[in-house]
Amino acid sequence: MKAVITAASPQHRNLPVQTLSDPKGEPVPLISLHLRDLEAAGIHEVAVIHHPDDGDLYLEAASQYRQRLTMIPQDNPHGFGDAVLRAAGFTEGEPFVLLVCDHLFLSRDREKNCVQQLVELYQRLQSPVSAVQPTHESQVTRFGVVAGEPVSQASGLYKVREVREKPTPTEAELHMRVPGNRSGYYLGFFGIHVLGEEIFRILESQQEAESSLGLSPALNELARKGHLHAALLEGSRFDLEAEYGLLQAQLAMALSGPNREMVLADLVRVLAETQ
Amino acid sequence: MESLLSQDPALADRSIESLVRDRSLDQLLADCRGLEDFWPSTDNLYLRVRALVFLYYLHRFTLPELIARGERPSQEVAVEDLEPRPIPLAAHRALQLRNFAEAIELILAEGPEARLNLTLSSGLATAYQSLALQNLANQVRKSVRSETGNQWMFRIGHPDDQPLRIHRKMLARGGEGNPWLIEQTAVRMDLSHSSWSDIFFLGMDRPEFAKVINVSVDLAISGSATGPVPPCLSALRVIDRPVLRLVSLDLESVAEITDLAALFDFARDYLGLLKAALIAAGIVPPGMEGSRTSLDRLLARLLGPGRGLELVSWVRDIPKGSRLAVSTNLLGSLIAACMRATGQIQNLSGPLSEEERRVVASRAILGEWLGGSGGGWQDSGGVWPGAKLIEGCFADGNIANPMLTPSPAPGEEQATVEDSLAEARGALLPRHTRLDGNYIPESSIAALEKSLVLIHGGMAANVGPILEMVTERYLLRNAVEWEARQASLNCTGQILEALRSGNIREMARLTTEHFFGPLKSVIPWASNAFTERMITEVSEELGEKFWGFWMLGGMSGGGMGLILDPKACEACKPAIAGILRRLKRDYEKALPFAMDPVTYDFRINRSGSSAVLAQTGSPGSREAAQPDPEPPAVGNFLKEYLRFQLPSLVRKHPASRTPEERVDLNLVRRLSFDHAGEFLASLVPEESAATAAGGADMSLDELLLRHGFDRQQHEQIRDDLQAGRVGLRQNRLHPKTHIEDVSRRELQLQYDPGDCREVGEKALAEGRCAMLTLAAGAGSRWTKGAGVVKALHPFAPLDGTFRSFLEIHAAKSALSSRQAGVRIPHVVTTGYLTHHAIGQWLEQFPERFPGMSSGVDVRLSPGRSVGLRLVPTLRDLRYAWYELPQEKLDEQAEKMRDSVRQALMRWAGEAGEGADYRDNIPMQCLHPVGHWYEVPNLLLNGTLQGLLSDYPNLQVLLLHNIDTLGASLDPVLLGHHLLSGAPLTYEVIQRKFEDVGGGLARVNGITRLVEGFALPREEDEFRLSFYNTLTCWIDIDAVLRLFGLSRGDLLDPEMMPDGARFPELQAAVRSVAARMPTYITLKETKKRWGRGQEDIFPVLQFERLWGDMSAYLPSQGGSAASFIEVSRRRGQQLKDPAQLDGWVREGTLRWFEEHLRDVWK
Repeated sequence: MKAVITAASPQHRNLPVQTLSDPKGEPVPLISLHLRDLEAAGIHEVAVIHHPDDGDLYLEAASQYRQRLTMIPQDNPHGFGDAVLRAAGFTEGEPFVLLVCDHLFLSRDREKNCVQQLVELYQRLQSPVSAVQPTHESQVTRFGVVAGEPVSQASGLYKVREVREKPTPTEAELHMRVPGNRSGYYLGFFGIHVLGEEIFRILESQQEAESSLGLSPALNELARKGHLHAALLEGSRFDLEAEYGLLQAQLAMALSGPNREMVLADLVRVLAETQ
Repeated sequence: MESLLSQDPALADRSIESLVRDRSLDQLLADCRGLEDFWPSTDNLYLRVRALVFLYYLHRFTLPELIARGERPSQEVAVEDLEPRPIPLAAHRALQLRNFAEAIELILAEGPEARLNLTLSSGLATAYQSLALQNLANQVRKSVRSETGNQWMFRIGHPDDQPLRIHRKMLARGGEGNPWLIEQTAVRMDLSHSSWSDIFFLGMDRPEFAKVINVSVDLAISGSATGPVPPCLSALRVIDRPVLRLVSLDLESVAEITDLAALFDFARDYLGLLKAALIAAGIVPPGMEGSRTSLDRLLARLLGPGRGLELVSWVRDIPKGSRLAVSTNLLGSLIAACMRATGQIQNLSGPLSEEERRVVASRAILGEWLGGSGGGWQDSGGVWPGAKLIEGCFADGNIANPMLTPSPAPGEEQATVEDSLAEARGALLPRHTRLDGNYIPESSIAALEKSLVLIHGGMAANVGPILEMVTERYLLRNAVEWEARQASLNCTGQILEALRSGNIREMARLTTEHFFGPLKSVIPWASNAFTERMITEVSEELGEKFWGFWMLGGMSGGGMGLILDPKACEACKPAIAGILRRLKRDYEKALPFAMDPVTYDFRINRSGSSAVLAQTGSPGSREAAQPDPEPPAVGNFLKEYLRFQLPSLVRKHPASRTPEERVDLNLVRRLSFDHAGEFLASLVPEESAATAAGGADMSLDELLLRHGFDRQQHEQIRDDLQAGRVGLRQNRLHPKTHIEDVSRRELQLQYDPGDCREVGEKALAEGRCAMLTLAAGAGSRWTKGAGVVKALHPFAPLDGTFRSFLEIHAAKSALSSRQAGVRIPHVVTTGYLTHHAIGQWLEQFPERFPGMSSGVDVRLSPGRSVGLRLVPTLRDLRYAWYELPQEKLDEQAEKMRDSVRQALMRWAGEAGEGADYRDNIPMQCLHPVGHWYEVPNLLLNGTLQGLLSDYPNLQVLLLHNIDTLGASLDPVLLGHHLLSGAPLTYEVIQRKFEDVGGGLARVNGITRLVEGFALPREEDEFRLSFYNTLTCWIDIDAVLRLFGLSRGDLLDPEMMPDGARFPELQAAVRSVAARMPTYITLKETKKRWGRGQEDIFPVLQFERLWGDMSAYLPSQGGSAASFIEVSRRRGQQLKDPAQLDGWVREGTLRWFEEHLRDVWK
């Protein structure tokens, strides 16, 4: 299995090289955190879709993983779907993990990181699967959202009926409610998918000259054909683009490690010293 | 119970009349017990409501009728149990607080005879009826809140949870002003609502009945330069201040909202609809109400720091009461604009998708519930294009009893009924199916366009009571109503077929038949004399060119349709306008007109609600202000908006102008090439004429002079009022006054009825009795303060002809005349409001009723006193609204009422407490000074002298109020009065719950009538068993003696108004008047403005009342007044149009039809 990291968002080109303290307190660039997760899942071939000017920067941040990377510049970009489609030649028909670079994924399972959990699920299902996370209605306008039916006897697994990109809360309430979810919560994308060759064919068919190509419509087409699953993982995603998103991600990561008490003590001190 | 629970329509839909017809009193009492056990135990809303309405019917109509007929249960009932027994005070309180279930429990705790006692069972009837309606209203509210797609807004309680963001294109590029998003929405015409089947719970209970054909139209007042346009326009833009700026161009109202509390205060100003739109669109989600967060924080989240929104509404050329659902469609328009701007509707410009229309419609329903306005289930039809069939859906989304073949497939969005509604068979939101293009060819739509003349008759009556009556009849399965409903549904199918085949003439025949058949059968009050005469006259004048009539909405009189031969349609418009003007003149004083009638040009709207984004602030040529694709709409809006804003813009110091105000001024500069005149006119408005319109050609001061205004008395009352010596609280008797109830025994005939009859018939035959009808007042409750003459209101369709109160009274006198064989004198008292109109009526009387005029000598007694209303004091308002116990309303209505009251208290403070009320048309500033003056007026204006000269035998007057329709010269009662020798005999009736305002009491040992507001404590009234009808037999000589006069004195020509002894007469009247109590009362008065808009203001006035003569007589040492109990039919007063249905059901209308039929001939 291969992996594709999309990191070409024109507004957040610096995020992949953003350094965070990992759970043990070691400073690690975000892209390396993702590559570390992929390696643990046994994935050694990774393509990074990037802005044409950023390739070298990312390679440098990837340090020991740089040899595994295939850098694919996205010139003349036309949306997220277009970025994914650029990786069609790289995957060569193999299933691949698609991971967005502006999120941080933290697993609650000490044995398996989030990528590992999803890859295992894919291997069991042999069907494209997207990780999802219950997302409050106040946030749904920032994510792709799925609706579907729970797969019986498989907790947290859904057969996806529909995918909508950034729905309004009204749309979400009308179309995206999922049995078993708390009221006001929807299944928003987590930022990790395991997909196959089919997605490229759909993306190609949906491509129109000069217009933006989204991934959600293509995933919706997969869902319409009954070929997409969604899964709740033992973990959380943090959207680094959100307001104070980076801070939240860093805090969560620091609190998930061995130095939790020290970090908490520091937090209390900051609280006491600031107004 | 069998009917309630049966699944078989043949059993379940039997009418209540048929169910109770042959049942004995014992069986009915057992039925009551069964229903009483059933309603609290069932979870099914519809069964519960129907059981409650059955109980209401039994207690309101069936049981009282059986008891009155003398039936008694087999189980022994003590005689005293049937005696009047007051409703317990705690039950009264529970009813006021809308705790209806508790009230029922408290009344039933009085014992099993509670069901047999008229007073107690009237309390039960009220409680059951109110509880049924409360259950229904709660259910609709719950359904609206829980409608999928609306729920999230009730969960958002904090600005940080606001998920919406402004669309980036709503923000300006570079140095330009932010663009305007302009939404235009049609209004809807309602071809057939299948007998009000668009009432929410009716549609949800029986979706198979709920069928409506509804057409979206653009309008213009006939002959206007612009031609038809979508009447509802909303405009939205981002502004550079963190406020919500709301503007209504047609109401000329503007407000800047800076805090959340003000936004949820719907009645504070005229902008409630705009506020409801912002909330229902989720810009300020309803869940934010009551949160202590700031509005700027929410706006910053939505729009970015320092920004706000300006929302403008503009209803073009449609007055209130149009029956075109203007407010719902304007709300839809405003909501659509807000939803587009926040990305909830996909496209910023162009039409809406079907799903988006459904969401907008659902939000409009929510907005109406929030804002307290009423809207039907189909009213947002203007959001959709063209003609459509709107049908009720079952909860699973399938259309009930589809009218179209093939039936459209159910969409997913219909299957959205919540668990809480599991008991409802139907979904809240109906299904819209476009007809034009699919089921109806374009040629038919075009033919309809060419044949229809839309008019506004000028009446703006409240349709609310009609809807309540429809609901009640539906729940009772009233036999006539039920058949009419089926016929109506069939008619809708036929109308659809006629439209499909393009046979507009057939369609016209059907809509006419529908109006005169099923609609009038369901609710006779949907029609009125004006409408029916208009149809007759149009039909007579246009002959074959007139194809039919079409009632547009819930009732006639406002917006209506006339269908004509298309070849003659345009040419006939002037003739129609002429008929409307003439009829309005004829009925102006009799029916509540809000404006002059108008005819419209119209066109069927084929795009539905549609928007355009207009970048108006870009520097450049004047054309930039008129961007494509809809230049006229944008241009017209900008012109109107700037015309309205310009005066305040130029008043502002240049340095303090906001960025958007500077953009607006630049725009004025550019547009002034074409609109200089309009802009100038807005800056220098024409001064209005000193005298106001509204039928008054004289100024207020001239009117006061003419109608006998006593300035000295007025100033004295004002001083007393401001000093707190008189006022609402001071009306009350001393707290230590001893109040006792009077027993029935004291009110029975004291003589043998046969003897009474003999004496009475003899007196009538000798011409010793005359009628005295009080018609000086406006009957403010009848037309909600509209200032029309109640006496002339043709309200009752007797044998198909609308008759007025006065006509019915005159006919009863004619009947008495036939029976007695003499001519009966009948005096009608008039006042400043009514004299002219009643005078005109009297002029036509011999010609219109030749058979009657020979038997009845109708004379007028013009009023000789008038008062000038005063702005209320805050003390009195607080007393009336906050100290006296108030009826509790529904949660939202309560908020609205409180908000209105706060606004009115601000108004009173600003206008000056106790100041003269002059800010209205002059006629609305005057007030009648109470019916005590009516008898002295007979002396002062010479009427009594005239009567005594012409009818020397005359001895007794029967005084009665215009709305006491049962009052008549009954020989038994007349004989009793004569035998008793009492100077005055007052008629009283056993009190029912709804009879409020005082009654018969023993006050410190003296039996007298006492007004409700004069009783020491409010609860004293609840202990009184008998209610004052005001009907009073007056011994003329005895009353003259009270004034220190004799018949001889009065007949002295020098006593006439210009005679030498007239001051003696005046002094006599003044001396008795001074000993009568002066009551201060709070009245509601309407102020009309704009295009059919109305405000209601509370004003203070004073009055002296005839009932107080019952206290005056004993104080003079002579004989006391006598009191007698009469039947309800005789004593019932018709104060409120909502009483009409019950009045008909009790059989009074039928009684009049049967007894007066010959007299009319």
